[in-house]
Amino acid sequence: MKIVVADDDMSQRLYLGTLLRMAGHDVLDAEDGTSALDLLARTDAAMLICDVEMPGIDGLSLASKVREAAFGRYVYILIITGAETSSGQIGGLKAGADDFMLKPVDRALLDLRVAAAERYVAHESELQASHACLAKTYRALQDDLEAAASAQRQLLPEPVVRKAGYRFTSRLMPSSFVSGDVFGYFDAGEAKAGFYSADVSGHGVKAALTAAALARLVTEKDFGSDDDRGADDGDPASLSRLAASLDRRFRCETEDATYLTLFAGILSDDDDVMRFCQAGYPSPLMLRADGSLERIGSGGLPVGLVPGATFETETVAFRPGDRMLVVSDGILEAECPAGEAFGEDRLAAFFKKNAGLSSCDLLDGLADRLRAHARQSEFADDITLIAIEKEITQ
Amino acid sequence: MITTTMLGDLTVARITQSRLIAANAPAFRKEILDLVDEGHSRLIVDLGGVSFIDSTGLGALVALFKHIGMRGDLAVAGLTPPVAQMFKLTRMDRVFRIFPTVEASLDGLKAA
Repeated sequence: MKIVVADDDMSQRLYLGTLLRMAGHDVLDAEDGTSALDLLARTDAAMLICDVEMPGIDGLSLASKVREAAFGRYVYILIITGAETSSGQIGGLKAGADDFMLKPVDRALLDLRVAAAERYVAHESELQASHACLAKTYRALQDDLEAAASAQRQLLPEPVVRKAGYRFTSRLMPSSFVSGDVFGYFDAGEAKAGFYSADVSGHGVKAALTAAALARLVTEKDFGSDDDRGADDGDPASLSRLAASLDRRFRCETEDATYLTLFAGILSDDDDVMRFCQAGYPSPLMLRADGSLERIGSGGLPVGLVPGATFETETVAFRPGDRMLVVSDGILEAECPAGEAFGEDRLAAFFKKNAGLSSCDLLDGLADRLRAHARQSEFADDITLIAIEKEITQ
Repeated sequence: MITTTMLGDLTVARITQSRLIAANAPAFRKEILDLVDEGHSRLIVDLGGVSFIDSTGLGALVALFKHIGMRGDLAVAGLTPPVAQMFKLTRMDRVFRIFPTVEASLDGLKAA
């Protein structure tokens, strides 16, 4: 081991140096604290043996300076004292010393002490290496997750999308990088727009992978825009068919109880109607042009959860001036520090109170309101916010 | 996560966690499925102490429902309002046999 020996007394330096060299160590001489610090900074010495009494920087100050400087490695400090006083030892330990020896220094004892120091330093460097390895792995995982999050954003629509006279505005707040929430909009034939919002049970990477698979499975065809299936155009059964086909798909693929909730709709500009299928997804809130608020749908079985599930397509009016808010349960379940969930009542009150805001401002305001409720910027579950409105045309 | 009481051939499993969520649902799932495998296949799950259940918690209960299947009986009892709302939204109120209290479920299962 490379050891710096600091002592203003040359004979003492010589004596200690000889003993240490005989034990096979590499010894660097320092006649005072300043040159000891310099040697520690310039070399990779792992141990400092110093006299407590030195002119200039004394042993205790030297110990605390070594701890301050840190050097990017652990330097084991052994202080040699003339007298065994508990106050001196306490001061030394506080300053950062690891061990003490009394003068005159006994050779056998010194060898044992240095051997102990070697063990400690070896352990310390192992810890440092494993910490560096963990930090590297953590950074790599973080980079991977960020890349996955960005890939996932590519699957989602732009924040504002217009389709067939309807405007869709959305915000997605993943609980950690990637999200188990997913949604999309489609052209659904002449003057019709289709949309869905889904929430895979759980959150994090596993849910996100299922959500990504789902995003690939749901296509325009499911909303009846395919020319070959012109007869199905607007067929209210097509949405329940979508839910049923996803149900079969996800039920057999997931042994581990991963399932999803879904709300899918087809908006028809011609007759001001929305056909929808609700599969366990929270009921959207509809704020009517006259200021009244309705809850859309009464519930439905989730997708991929129970065998033999059937799904229904329902119909509701959606007129110019109406605005519908589709939100995942992450918003309803977001809790304040005292444990109270944000809940549907707060959501409804916010929606009603801010009816005059544009959808962008409404959703941003809602996100702010939610962060204020939770007193944090990150949430336990993924949160999707979608506002859908029928544009008033002349 | 579960305390059990035997009443004849019925087992009442009370969930001791106030929240059945992603963080503890897998552990709950394993514990309750093991209970069934040990022979407790006529089961009343007492949710009276559960004030919140999320989608993973619900998934664990459905896994239990499927696991018992035809070989036993399952009832859930004591749903608190937020849990009852979750059951209603996801139509689980049509999948599970639900009783307001453990006592009521005892009568319900005995009559079956």
